[in-house]
Amino acid sequence: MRRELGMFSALVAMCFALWLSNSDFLGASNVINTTRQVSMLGIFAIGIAFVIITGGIDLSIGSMVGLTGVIIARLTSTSTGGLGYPLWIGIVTALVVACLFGLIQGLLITRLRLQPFIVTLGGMLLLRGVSQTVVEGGVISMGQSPLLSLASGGLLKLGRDPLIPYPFLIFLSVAALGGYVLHFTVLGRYIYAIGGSRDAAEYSGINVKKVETLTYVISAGSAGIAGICYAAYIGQMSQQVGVAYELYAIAAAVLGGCSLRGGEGTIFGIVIGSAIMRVIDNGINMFQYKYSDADGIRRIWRLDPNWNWIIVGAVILAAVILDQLVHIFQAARAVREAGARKAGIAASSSANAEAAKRAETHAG
Amino acid sequence: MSSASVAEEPLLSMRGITKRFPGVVALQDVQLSLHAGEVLALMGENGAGKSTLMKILGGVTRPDEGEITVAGKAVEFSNVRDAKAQGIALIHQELMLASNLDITSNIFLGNEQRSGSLLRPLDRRRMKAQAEALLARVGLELPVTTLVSRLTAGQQQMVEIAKALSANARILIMDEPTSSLGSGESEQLFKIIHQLRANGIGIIYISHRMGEVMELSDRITVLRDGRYVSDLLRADASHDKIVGLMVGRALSNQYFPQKRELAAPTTRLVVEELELPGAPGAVSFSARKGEILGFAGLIGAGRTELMQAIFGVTPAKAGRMLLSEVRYAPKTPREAIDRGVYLAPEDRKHHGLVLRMSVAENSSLPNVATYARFGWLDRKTERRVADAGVKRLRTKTPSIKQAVGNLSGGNQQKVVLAKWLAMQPQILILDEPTRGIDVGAKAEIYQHMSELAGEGITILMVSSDLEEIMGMSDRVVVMHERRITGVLEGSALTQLAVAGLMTGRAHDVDSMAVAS
Amino acid sequence: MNAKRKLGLLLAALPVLVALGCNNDSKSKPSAAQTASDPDKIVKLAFVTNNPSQFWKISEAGLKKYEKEAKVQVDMKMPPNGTPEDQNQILQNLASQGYDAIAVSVIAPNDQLGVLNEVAAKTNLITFDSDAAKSKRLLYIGTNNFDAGKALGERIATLLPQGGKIAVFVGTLSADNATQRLNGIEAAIKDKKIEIVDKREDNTDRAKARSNVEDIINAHKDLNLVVGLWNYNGPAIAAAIQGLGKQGKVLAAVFDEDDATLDAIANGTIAATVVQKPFQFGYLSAKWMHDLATKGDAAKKALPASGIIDTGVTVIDKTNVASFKAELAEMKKSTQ
Repeated sequence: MRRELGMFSALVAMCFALWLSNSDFLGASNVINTTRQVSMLGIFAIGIAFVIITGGIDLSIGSMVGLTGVIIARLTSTSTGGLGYPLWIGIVTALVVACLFGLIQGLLITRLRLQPFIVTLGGMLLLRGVSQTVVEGGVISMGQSPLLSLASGGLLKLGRDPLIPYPFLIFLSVAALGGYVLHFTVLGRYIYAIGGSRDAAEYSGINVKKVETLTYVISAGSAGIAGICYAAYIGQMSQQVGVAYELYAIAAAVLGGCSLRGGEGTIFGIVIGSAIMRVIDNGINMFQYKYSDADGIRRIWRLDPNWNWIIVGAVILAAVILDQLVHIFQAARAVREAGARKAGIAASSSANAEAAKRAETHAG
Repeated sequence: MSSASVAEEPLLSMRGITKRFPGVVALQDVQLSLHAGEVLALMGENGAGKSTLMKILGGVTRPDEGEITVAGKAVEFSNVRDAKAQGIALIHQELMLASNLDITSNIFLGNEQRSGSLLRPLDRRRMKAQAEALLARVGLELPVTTLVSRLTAGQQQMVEIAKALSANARILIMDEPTSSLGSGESEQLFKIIHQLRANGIGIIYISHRMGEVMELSDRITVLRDGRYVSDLLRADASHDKIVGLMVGRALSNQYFPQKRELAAPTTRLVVEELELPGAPGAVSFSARKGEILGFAGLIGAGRTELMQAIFGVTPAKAGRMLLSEVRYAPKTPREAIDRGVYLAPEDRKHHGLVLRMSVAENSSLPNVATYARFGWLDRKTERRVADAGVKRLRTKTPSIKQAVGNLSGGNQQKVVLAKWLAMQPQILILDEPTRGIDVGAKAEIYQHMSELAGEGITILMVSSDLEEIMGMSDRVVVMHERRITGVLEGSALTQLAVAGLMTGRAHDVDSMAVAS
Repeated sequence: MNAKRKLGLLLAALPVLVALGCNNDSKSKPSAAQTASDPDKIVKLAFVTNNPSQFWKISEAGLKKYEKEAKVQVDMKMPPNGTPEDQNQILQNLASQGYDAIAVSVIAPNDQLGVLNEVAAKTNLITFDSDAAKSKRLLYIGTNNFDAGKALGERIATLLPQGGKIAVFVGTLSADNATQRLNGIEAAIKDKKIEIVDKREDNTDRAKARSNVEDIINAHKDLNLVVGLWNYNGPAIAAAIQGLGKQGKVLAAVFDEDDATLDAIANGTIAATVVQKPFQFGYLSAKWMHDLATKGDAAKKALPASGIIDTGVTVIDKTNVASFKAELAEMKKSTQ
């Protein structure tokens, strides 16, 4: 939880600083918009976390986000390129396709023992091509589809804004369900055990292949749900929707405390990680600094949009570096304390020695 | 405790077990029986088929032929769960725990509740209460919420046993359980084994340590080259007899090579007031040319850390070292290697070898750059050096292109030695050189060590096997809680003295389970 | 091991194979005169867009019309990711297949100069929509983006008679058509008390295209109007303004004629869009490519001295959107 709480504090500090620079940052409209952005990213970041915690990776979810939207647009849109079926057919088809593809990837990884990176890299490219084929290289407008209200609407009106946008509601449900499964059920325990030691899980009689396959279905399914939200938000689908989104999801998971080695991470952390990713995006647009120049003209300085990736990259690096430094510092202190505690039994000192060793291997 | 208490019907019986792997017959018509309340020692050299037999029993692999009955009922295992359902628990030599989870989670892993779907909630309170009871039973005084990554090897072993008990195991298989334990921890383990036996649990005990086998077992089954050889009651068994059955020939009693007379002692390494990270004091000692200097101590006594400082893995905080009278302060293994100091680490599989790479590639790894011309690998030289190493140490490998991971423990250790021998070492540090290596290969490794020392190489040998320390060392440095508590040689070098200095107590010798 | 070796050999042989392929091309490439004299020769023409937008459906209609008239095939290629690398690859591919003429909407004129000239050396190269004036292309068909920007800028000036603050949204500002359009707008609003207070890029991330607009409207409470420079910016702006409930409070002026953009003009969310004449891009490109490929020097003599055929722009607003949509639907129908 240390990493999660650290990132939470960082998020709060970031929000506070942005509010100081521009009070509109905490205006209802911006808060609701940003919440919607966080929610849409968070939905599939939670999904990929299931895979990451088992020690796997899923690069196909960005393309999956795009494909589900494209399927819905193609099947249900009444504009050019759409087939005009009822909305529910589009949604059901999209989700079934997503889960089926996750299942196929999972089976390839577990039954044929292919590497997740390679299988999902193939999936990423393949799905992108399928999207391209479905939209025939063009764009399909969602027109006046009732789906659009999924992005704009919500529960409880606050003035004209929805207090709880629907994507946020979906995100909360996904987070609650994900948190329950990961932290309170047998399946969750197995997922952590597989990430911690695949052999131990195997030899404990856990059906590792089944559990791992399931995580890829969860990951793809969550991308499908997110894809529906994005289709509603963007309002017109092309094959470009969702490019590189898998990387944002991975970044959110890592910021939130997931280790790509597996075995670590919490739903709370993923939520924080997703929030940080999106608040940075929003903050780059919102940040302003008011000053008077030499001629006494009141001016406002804003962040150059080109810095977007620099800031996101720097934040991710800073987070992992800080975390590692704290880790090393704590291990060193544990060893020092053990040294000072002369009367300590051999067993405890060796445990500390192991902690120190672990810190080294981490550092290396 | 003895055959008197054995019931007429065996708890477990395996008959005609045959298992073939591509190109190898791992087991041929092997039999084994185990009674409730019995400790059966399963003995055999590495490659004799012990592990395969136990994997079959644990449901990890399926036999090609043969039948297994548990309590008179014929059973067939297609996976680990089937074996568990029959009350069979397998504790692997390399402990199978998820280090990112706590003790409770590990104990109940795979056995969270009797039945139901994967989405059923965890009953944390019930599991925690049961875990506490189980820990009390195995004598582990730790909170059940402790992360397994914080436990020592011995404590992890206890968790494994608690896990087996939680599944109501009737048959407990332990593969080399003491290989990573200090003697205090081993003693605790033996106590629990006695307890379990008294409760009617059948235990199959695999170990290379003859002393333990003689102390613990009721009966001994010996395998050789994948075949069943013999059953012995403990009363009828002796060290030499068992070894003879295992090796297939009477092994001379002279297990350890004759000690060499040291010529006029020349000091090679001087260690002065070296301060290790986290250590209360500093350590000083010296090592001579052509000497085997043993380092005895419990796990966690600081021996490995000392060796890592000498090899430059974790440089010492303070102090001074002289190598051949020249200042020596390695900050990285590379600096140590450049001065002719090499380390064969305790954990061969992680630090000593790249298991997927071939014998040749591993042999050349430390000085592969010197085999390269303009950045191109000189495979010819690499092969020549590797061939020489294989010949010299009589490594059993089908080819130098074989992946090291496919070799037996003894042969892996030979590859590690070959790797360093190719570079004319000054000092060779061997951390637990024969851990997990069978008797025949052990004797060979000892022979090589003796020869190397004869050539003038200084060997620093860390070992938790007191027998090995006594048999091989010219002098012995004893460590306790990261300090040197004594340096023994000549007539002062007795088991009693070493054991006393190791534990910080002078008289407690019972715990030193060693061969007679 | 063997498989690896084979792969290695294959890779090593690749440059040789490629070189052989190139040689064949140059040998087999007929001169324009030869082509003209050979009636059985199939004339290969290609129309390469800058990305796969539905905008090009209208150009396709123009292509189709010419195809029917002249009984010739024109292949349409759309770089799937809209990157210069994508487009370069397509161009090189077409040139090495011996295409007789290629028309292209250049994505990054300066970066692609080398490839464009390479292609121009092998075949007849013309540009449409987005020009590369420094290259050895024979002709440019389209409206200069500067003039299109100027047309929108003038409309913005009439929409904000008292002046005001505007923000600009685009995929990549450094793209040539974006720069030209923006320069045109800036030229038209100069001295009109209209200030551009922010410019945001989305790098073609469609969700970001919308969230950028939402963020900037929230960050600048006094914003009067937003401008979208690329075709998908129009729908993104419309969705953002509707989402925020700012219809009528924040005006919008955009480019191109995406479905959602025209819908938004009809319902008043977007005030105006400047459309080029993509049908003309298609029709005229096909015609000139065909002439250049079959009539050789005669066609080259007929080229305008400036090297530019200006197709002009139309400003669409509430008054003419309905008729424009109908016209558009008619054109698209012809491509089905």
